[in-house]
Amino acid sequence: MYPHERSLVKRLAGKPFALLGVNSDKDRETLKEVMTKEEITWRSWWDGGSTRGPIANQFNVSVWPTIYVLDGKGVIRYKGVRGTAMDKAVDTLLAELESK
Amino acid sequence: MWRFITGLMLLLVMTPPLSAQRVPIKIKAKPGPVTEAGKKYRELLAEFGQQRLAYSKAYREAKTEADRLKVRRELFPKPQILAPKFLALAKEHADDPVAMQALVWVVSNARLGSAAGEAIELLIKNHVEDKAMVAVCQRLMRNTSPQAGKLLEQVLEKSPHREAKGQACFGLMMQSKYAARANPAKEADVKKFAEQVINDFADLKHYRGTIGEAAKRELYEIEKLGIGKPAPEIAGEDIAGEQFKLSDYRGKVVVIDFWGNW
Repeated sequence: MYPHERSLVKRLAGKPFALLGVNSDKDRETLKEVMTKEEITWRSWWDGGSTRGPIANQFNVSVWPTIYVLDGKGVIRYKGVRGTAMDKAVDTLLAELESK
Repeated sequence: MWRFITGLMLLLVMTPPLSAQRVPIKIKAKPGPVTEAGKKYRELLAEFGQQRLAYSKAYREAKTEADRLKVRRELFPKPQILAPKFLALAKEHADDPVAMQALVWVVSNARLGSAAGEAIELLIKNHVEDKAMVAVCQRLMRNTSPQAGKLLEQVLEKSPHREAKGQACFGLMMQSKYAARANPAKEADVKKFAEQVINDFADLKHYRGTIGEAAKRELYEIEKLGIGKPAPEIAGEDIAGEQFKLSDYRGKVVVIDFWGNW
């Protein structure tokens, strides 16, 4: 996952696009080390150190990773897309945004 | 690196190849008087048990990755091969209590084979009012075949057992949920069955919670988190402790990735 997300973020640098994480790890300090090591440059919310945190709860998340893709208006357009399906979803919405 | 953990249910849903290969569920044979049918049933169970043992022994002893792959290909127990025998037993001894156990074995273990459809038909025809339908309904909620749907409908309509009716209703909700992935019009059915579960069967058990709670989550999912709905606002701290909000990113395409480093 990390390499795929890294390349997506890199490829779309400068585009109206953001990858945002919601992290459910327990330990924040360990997580900081992982983020440096894995070159995780995108921003993540800290969900309280638990898989039952408030944000995961609000989005009914019980499986990790879970992906939501939103358009420029903040509307949910795709759920659960991963790998190339995620790339395709993002490209479709970017094209839609740019055609307006 | 793999870093997902998941409820068993969703794992099975999302990775069909894995679920097809999972070690099949064991059905406990009740002691009781040994009829001819009971004896045959136990022999079949023993035969399957032998296959499982032979497989795990060979797997343990395999030295290389290639050997393990070969063992997996050749010796992994295939319930669909034994399923016709269980089915024949149930037909031959339709009046024996073991018949239902044999049918349940088929629908639980060999749901990918052709015997499963016939076993479901027989369960509908001969056992729809049986209390053991509770377990059958729980096992069929992920089976999207028309027969499985028919069985759940029949149990919901005809069973004298509230628990069986409730699990059937919940199963129909889950089946509609899977169907809605390909056909969004089915969402109306998800709602209908979820509401029925919440009104009539909310207290029945489901994993660590109740089917009522699970049905509420489904309704929430449809109403708040469906495709085309505005995503709920997220506001909170990032890893470094700084506040930020999802709405700060309006005007951009956003991927929200729920993740953990495990």
